[in-house]
Amino acid sequence: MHDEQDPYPTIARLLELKRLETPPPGFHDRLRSRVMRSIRVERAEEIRPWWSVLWLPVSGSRFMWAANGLAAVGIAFLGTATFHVLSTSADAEAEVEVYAALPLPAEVGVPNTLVTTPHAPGLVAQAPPRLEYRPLPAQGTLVPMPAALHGSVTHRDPDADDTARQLFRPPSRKNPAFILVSDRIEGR
Amino acid sequence: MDPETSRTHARGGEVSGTAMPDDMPLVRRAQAGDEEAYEELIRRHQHRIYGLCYHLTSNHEDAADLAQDALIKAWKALRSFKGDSSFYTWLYRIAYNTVLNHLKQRRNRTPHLSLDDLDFNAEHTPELLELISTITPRRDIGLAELHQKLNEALLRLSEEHRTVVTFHDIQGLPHDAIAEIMQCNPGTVRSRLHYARQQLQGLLGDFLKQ
Repeated sequence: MHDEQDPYPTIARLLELKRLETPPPGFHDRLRSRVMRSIRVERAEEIRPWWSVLWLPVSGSRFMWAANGLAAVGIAFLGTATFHVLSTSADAEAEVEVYAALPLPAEVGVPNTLVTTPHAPGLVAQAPPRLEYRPLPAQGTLVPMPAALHGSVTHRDPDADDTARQLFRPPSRKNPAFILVSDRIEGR
Repeated sequence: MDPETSRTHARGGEVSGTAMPDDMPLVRRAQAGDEEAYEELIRRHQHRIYGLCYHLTSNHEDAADLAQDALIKAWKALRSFKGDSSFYTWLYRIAYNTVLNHLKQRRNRTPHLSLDDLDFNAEHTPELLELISTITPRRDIGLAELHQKLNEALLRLSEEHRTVVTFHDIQGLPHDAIAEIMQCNPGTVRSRLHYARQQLQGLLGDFLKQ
């Protein structure tokens, strides 16, 4: 590579020494393999289905394996704990007992009542009776408390059952005629 | 076309333009997604691509990474290759731009030379001893030291001048091909080459025969 008019022929010869600088044996084979591997990986990612992205982190380093393992264990633990809590609360609800309320005195009037609305005669056979909820009157009359219940009023025994006392109050929104045991428990 | 274009260099994969095999059939296959065709293209040109990266950076590890990046970029851009220029010119341009970007990012760092892996086994061959004796009057200087001085001098050139010297004096590309790769005219290539040699002469004058 020496031009005939080259005024620096020695420099050109010196630069030819640079051609002796070659990489280690086998380097070019490794380089070609690395390039082709990268190309194949990129092409495989292009045609990979969307859900396979979920597995990408797993195929990484050991650290990623450990991190993904920890995350999986955490998710499993949370799932088990949630299932346990839900099943326990469902069992507790199933064990609730319902008590029948005591009958009200006659002068109290009709408490919450489900009444049937008369339908046209032709529709009775086709439709079930329609039920309506009528609210209790806002103001009721005081009912004297039976003497047998007085003791439970003076001192509040958490174990004592004050359901009857609650029931003999006039019906109102705060004192429904029929209560569940769960309501009674919350009222304590 | 310069008379030099008919010359070839046997060593290090450096060849001149006319020695290039016809790449177009392989290029067409590679453009259609044929990986084996592209692998064959890499096999043909990787020595020169690596050589370009190495001579511009004087660092083997950087050159390996840059050559890999350039070959992957070329695969991604292969569909845009229309065949207006030769494939190796197009590939060279990608590698050249990759190296330029790398050098811009590392401009503030001090370059270091890595010559440990290089082949100095040829140092004692008669041809090389004769070559060294024609280059330098100093009998005490070895090939490794001469290389070291040469690389240090090359790194003191600007990127454009180092590129022209690399393309022309080391890799044996003709002026026209260099102009196409560097996207300038052949006159600019000649003037840069002259200036680069002049600078090297000044930097290495103590080691060279007059």
